[in-house]
Amino acid sequence: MTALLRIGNLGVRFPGTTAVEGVDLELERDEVLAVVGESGSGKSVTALAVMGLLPAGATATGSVTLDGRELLGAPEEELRRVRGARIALVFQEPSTALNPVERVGWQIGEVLRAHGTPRRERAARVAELLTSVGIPPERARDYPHRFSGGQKQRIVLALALAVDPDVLIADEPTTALDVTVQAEILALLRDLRRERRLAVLLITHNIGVVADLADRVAVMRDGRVVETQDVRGLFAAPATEYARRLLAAVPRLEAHDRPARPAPAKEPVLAVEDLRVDHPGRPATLDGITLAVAPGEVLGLVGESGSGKTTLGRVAVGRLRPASGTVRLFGQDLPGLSRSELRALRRRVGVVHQDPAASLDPRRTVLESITEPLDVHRIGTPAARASRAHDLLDQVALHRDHARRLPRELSGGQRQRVALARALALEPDLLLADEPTSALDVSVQAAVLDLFTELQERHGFACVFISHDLAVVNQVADRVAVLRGGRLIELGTARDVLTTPSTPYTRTLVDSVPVPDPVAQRSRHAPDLEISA
Amino acid sequence: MTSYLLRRLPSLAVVLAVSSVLIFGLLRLVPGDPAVTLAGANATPDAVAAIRHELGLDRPVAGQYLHWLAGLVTLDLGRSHIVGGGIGSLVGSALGYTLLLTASALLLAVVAALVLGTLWAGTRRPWVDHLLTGANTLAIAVPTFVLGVALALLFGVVFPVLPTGGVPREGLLADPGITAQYLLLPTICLALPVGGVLTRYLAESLRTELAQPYVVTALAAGISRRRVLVRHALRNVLPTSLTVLGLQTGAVLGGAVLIEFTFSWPGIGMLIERAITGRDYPVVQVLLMLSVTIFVVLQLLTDAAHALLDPRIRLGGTR
Repeated sequence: MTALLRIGNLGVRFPGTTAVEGVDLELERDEVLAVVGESGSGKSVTALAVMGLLPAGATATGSVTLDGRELLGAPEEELRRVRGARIALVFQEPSTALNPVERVGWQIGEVLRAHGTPRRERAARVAELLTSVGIPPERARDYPHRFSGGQKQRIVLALALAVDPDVLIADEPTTALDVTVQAEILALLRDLRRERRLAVLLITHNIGVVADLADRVAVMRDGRVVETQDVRGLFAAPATEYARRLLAAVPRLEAHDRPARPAPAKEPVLAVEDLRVDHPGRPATLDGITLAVAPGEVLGLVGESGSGKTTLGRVAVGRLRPASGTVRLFGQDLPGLSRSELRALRRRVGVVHQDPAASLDPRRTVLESITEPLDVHRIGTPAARASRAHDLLDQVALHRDHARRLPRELSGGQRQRVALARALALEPDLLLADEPTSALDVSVQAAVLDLFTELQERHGFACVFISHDLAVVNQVADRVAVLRGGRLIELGTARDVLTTPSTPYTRTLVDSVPVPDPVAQRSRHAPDLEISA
Repeated sequence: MTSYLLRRLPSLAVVLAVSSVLIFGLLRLVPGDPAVTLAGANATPDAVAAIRHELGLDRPVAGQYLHWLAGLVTLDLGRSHIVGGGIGSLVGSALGYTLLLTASALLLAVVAALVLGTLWAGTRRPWVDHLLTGANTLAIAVPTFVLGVALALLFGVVFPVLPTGGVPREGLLADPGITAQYLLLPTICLALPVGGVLTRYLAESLRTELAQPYVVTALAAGISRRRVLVRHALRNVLPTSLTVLGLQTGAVLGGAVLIEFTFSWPGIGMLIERAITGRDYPVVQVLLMLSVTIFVVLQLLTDAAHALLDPRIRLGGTR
């Protein structure tokens, strides 16, 4: 029997570069094949090539067959009839995957229209589809911005599955979502696959998601498939060195013994008491927050989007005024300070943001970016600043040649190292890191986290480490604070909070993180398999 | 929606008030005395003083301003010094001609932009792209006064098929066919640069829009490229294109002054040209105030249309 979808010796070339070369993949009905790899490994390009939707200028060679019929080079109209009806695509960013100015029901209706469903049957079918992904059908008349990220991804799934395709290509379907929402979407995908006997090509860099959903796994690197294996086989005994390293780089939620630091005898670097932050007309963004960060301590701040993590960070550096409560930074009351006093305090705070591509000025060289804080605070001579910058480049393990480059000439991980070097330029006593590794690949993330830990030990700065990724926080934080809806739910040592959570919410959070181990992960949702059996 | 528009009204009132002061004040600073011009070269100082008194120019400036403002509010626009007659009726008849000309030019520009801009963004044939790029550059680059004369020569002299100036003798409404013939050349001339800018803007925003993820979602679900372009993507670029259209309408009104002069079209442009050369302050003041008002109203309409087209603005953050 031949496979439902067969990709044979696929190559994709862009002018000047080869994105994908010699890729062979086979997908059967009712099977989930995961394609894993880091950014730039050619995963998404492969998906677009299958759909015949490569950007202008790209050329594809080799073959893509569906039920034995060649798709590569087929006429546009024939491809159009395959798209949506036989092969559907769902991808990463649910917030941009829907047309912002049309009602969601209309958008699903458009797909039905394109495949010949008569107008009078469309509304009923749209309602049915929305129900099947857990969205109340009366919300068909709402616009996308009225839905949460998880709801949007459900709607995108309804849209993709509108005309009952046989193959679903899901490109990073849960990457942009919170862990608990990710768990819901993964459960939905599992249900849909079972009900419809879907063949799923799951593209992801999240090893936990692979462990959760995949039957087989293809590992891609630099446009080639380096290894294809049964999921249990891959996790038990990866055949290639690359796959082994990829698996090892995944941060885990297991208990993690770090030397207990002495109880803070000195005054805390940052102390927040009964803090409240309001936005007019909305429920309080933060309410009743009390916590302190001791010198040299790393406090992990976790919570889902909208929980107030970033707001708390902004209050801590005096960028946002609280409605009530006290904020003491290095022993001084922030709300009472003048501009110049605040500036002087900020010299002692370094900041690293989530997306290094956005937080570095694209027209400044690495050297200029790193010396900027020194220039602003007029520290040392220009020559001294430059030598300090070179010293910092050494510390973040970048080559001195990188100093003259522009951010776009660096990789994501290198850019984040530059951002880290810049944050450390003034030798801060407190570092505020807001999702510093969320935009990075796992293996790059692992290297940046190692670097972070090493620098933290060397310089002894205190740190507020904001992240939605519990495993990352587990790796770096001494203590963890869990925020939910602007309230502090739990605060304790990383070990206590993440291994034996005391609140049901934290328990849910911890349980939602997919474990990068297929056997363990599947046993966690075993109950719902029994129900269906 | 209504409250959204109501909130904008105070700032609009401020803009109008400030510009009335500016217009009135600036015209007092222009060299030349209307009384002297009106009295003629050989007038005695007494005669000039008498005319000045008659026109109210000997009163304090603040008083003159308040008197003028009161007139504006009650729609009593005063009398023209030079052209003669009530300003209200002068402006009224000229405004009709100008509105017809600018409205038809805008209509032509918008239709051309919608058709050609969409075609330009959607085409995958290089020659269509090259052709439209060339035509577009030409439309934007050639100045109105050159184009007006060229068109008049081509269709009035070389191929004498269209009238090259003036308006139908029996009035605009007598025979729409004849009116259209008179209207054609000035309209094309006025519409071309504006249409060029709009087309280019629309095509460029459509190209940006076509790179959006939702377009891939729609294509991947089997919706045809044409439908995605004209139904899904176009809808998204209309709000910002409207803002550009609102700004370009200003260019149309400015361009109308030149075009009316070239094609002897008796509109506001002709009137303002006569009033300025004759130092007819009251007429100039009213016309400037009128154009500011039109501009302000246009911006308000643009914002209203923008809000109507974009549910994110219309519905705000209410959940």
